[in-house]
Amino acid sequence: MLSAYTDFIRIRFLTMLAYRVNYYSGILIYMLNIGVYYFTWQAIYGDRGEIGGFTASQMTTYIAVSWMARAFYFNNLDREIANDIRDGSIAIQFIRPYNYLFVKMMQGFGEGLFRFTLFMIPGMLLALLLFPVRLPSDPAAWIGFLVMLFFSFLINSQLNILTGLMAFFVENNEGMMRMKRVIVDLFSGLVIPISLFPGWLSSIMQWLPFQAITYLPGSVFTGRTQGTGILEVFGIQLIWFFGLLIPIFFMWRAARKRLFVQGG
Amino acid sequence: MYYIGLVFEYLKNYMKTRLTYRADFWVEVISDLLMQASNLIFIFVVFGHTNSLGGWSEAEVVFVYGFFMVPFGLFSCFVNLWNFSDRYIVKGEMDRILTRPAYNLFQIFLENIDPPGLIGSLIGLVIMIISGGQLGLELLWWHIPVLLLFSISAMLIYSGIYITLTSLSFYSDSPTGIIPLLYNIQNYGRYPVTIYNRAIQFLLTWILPFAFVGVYPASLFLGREEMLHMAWLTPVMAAVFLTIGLVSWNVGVKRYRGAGS
Amino acid sequence: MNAIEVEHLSKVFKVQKNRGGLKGALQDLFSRQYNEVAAVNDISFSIPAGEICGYIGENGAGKSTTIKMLTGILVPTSGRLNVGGYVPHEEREKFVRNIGVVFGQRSQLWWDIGVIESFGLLRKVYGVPENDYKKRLDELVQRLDLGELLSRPVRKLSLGQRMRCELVAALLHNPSIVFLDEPTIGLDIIVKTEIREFLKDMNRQHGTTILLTTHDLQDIEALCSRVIMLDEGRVIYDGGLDTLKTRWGQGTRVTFQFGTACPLARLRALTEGVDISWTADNDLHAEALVPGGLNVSDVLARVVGQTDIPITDIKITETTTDEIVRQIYRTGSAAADPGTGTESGRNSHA
Repeated sequence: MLSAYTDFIRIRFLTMLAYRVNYYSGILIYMLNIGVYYFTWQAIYGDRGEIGGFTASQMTTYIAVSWMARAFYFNNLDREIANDIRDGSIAIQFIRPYNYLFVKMMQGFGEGLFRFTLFMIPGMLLALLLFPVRLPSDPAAWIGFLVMLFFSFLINSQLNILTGLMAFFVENNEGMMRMKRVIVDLFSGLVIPISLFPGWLSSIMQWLPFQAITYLPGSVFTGRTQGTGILEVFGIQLIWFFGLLIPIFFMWRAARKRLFVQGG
Repeated sequence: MYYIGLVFEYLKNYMKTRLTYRADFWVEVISDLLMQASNLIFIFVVFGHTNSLGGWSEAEVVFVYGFFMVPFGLFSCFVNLWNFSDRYIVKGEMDRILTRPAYNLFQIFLENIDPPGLIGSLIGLVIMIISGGQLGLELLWWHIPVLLLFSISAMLIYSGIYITLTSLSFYSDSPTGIIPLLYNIQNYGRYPVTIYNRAIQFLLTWILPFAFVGVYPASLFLGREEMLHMAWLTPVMAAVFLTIGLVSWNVGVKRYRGAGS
Repeated sequence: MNAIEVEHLSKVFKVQKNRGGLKGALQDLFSRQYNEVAAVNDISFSIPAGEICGYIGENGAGKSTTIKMLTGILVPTSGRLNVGGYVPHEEREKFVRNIGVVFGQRSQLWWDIGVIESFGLLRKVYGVPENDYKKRLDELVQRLDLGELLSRPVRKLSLGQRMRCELVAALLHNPSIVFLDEPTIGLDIIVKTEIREFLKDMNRQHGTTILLTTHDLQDIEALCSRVIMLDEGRVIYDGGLDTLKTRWGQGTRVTFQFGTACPLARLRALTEGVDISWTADNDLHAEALVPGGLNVSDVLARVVGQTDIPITDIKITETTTDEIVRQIYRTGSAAADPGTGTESGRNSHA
């Protein structure tokens, strides 16, 4: 059974390899994103030393690592699930001897593996050449970052699953998916680090799961969070990971009920 | 005339579809608005930490953003190629389009028409009026026809770029295109491009000319002399990029009809 | 006048080769290899106006590719095409006003809105005048019994109802040539019969030329006076259905049921000198396969006349088109005719 699940990882990895146009253009576009934010922040910093606890040099590293982390954790599970629901093929998934959501997660991981090895790592190397990015020297920061990066993927995929499953309850969740994308990019700290938001807004965001996707691992990588602080922020990720399993469980149950009662 | 008639006919059908799913209509409108709001949040946060972005004040940047929303709304209403590859190439609906007696690209636009996008244009106008007021800009008679000209030109620039890129799906077998990735890039045209380095400025001006859907044309109304000549180039860029788009589309369709699927 | 003329038509596709495994996939990332495949290979035929012609072949034989070229979707690699006076791929937008196309597996109706709205939109697309449209729609709705379906959205229709609506959608502009790609796929026998009747009537009343592909040979038997059979991109048969049957029918099967045991050897002896093959499950039951060139009565005369063989039942079955076609597919070519019967052979025994 387990080998069946790992096969989903393998197949998705191979599928991703086939999308070569996306792959070539993806790296360039991510570099451009990093470049634009790099220059924007340069202009904002002017000759100021620190904004929101970030030095200009930390900000550069933060931008690069956040975008490259996104290159890894990003996936379209929400869209895939919504499509399965809308065209009715989800019904077939229910009669297969596996858990649909787990399979989706595996596929997402296969994609992530592809993105990590062929997108994020070469992208990061390129970013090192192009921008003054400073890599951490502390091995704890590296280990902490990599572990947290994996949880970024898990939490982001959980949010995608939740958004995708909404297609069971509304006819067209295209708008929600678009909204989710924008909210994740903004509130995860990808576009603006959380500490730069006005006080009230950043304190709201500390109670939302989004910061666990980008901001927390990014803080570890830039060295703003160190020592036992790494365990603390990792703890926040863990809480969100387990916390998000609850709505997924209930939504999945409601979805099954809906499918069986109304025939989809 | 035939094509204008078709626009109304498709709009009518759109409304009928939408009226069956009223709740979704509002979800979509609200999510569009939130998306715009989130972009504004970025501007406000940034100006919470600085007074000027490369020599532009907050009100000016917000004004540019307001202008940016107008053509973007038009574009997302009339030119929606988001799902093209999936729906028309992979699922094969292109064949049906090609058995109908109207220009194929036009049919695809019409089938994906999305009027809620226009709400964004309206909000953009409101933002322009408010921030223009803060800046003490005077509304002159020629502002209105020029705004119209620039908005339509900017919309055609978007169309040109996206048509060109979408026509790649006639060559590539990958179902999800690079278009979603571009969504981020188009946003960069609404900040003063002079803050970027040469390479990025060049890219946003001549290759993926998103500076022409935001900061360049808007600078005319703000009276920023340094970009005046760029502003007037907007319609020219529109003509050029639309032509590129249509040519590459037609070549792509020709290839599709040569290679099939 | 010919509605469709096809001369030396070919279509070659480039098919991407996928190298297996992880290494292969990585190689494919940087360089692709292609194979050339001729989906349609030098075919020629012409279909006179007003004919219903069946276009059959196994999956991948090139049927859909031909239809796509005939409807202007695909551009041929080589060869000449003329459909209703147009070269389809050259004047596509003008040309398609005269044709109707139904792809059995794909809908041309809007999923979420009432069927009638889709029709209204298609009227505009094809520029059909209001009066003609009304008349035509009434006629079609009545004929296909769509009355109360018209206001329902497509997603609420059954497959049979949907297919009837698809037909209306393709015929609203009164095309003179209609292409049907598997119009009866997945339908139950009642709807199939209805659709066949409808197509026959339309052909009779309006003189509409119809080219249809199908896997259901009942469609062919019910509708077509002519069949074109395709295999691996080549035409392997083009002619009447009757000719197909007589030329490639394996003849007639005569089944005997005997009152008392009758060994095969005895039967073989009785039909000595006649080219008949006997088979039997047991002594009380035997089957004779009479080749198309022979008369069944010759066989019967030899067996039935024997007083020591009490026959309780005789059944005579003609080979079905299904069997014939299966046979042709198996041998791969209708030209490699088993030699049991030719035109002249049939005549001499008629």
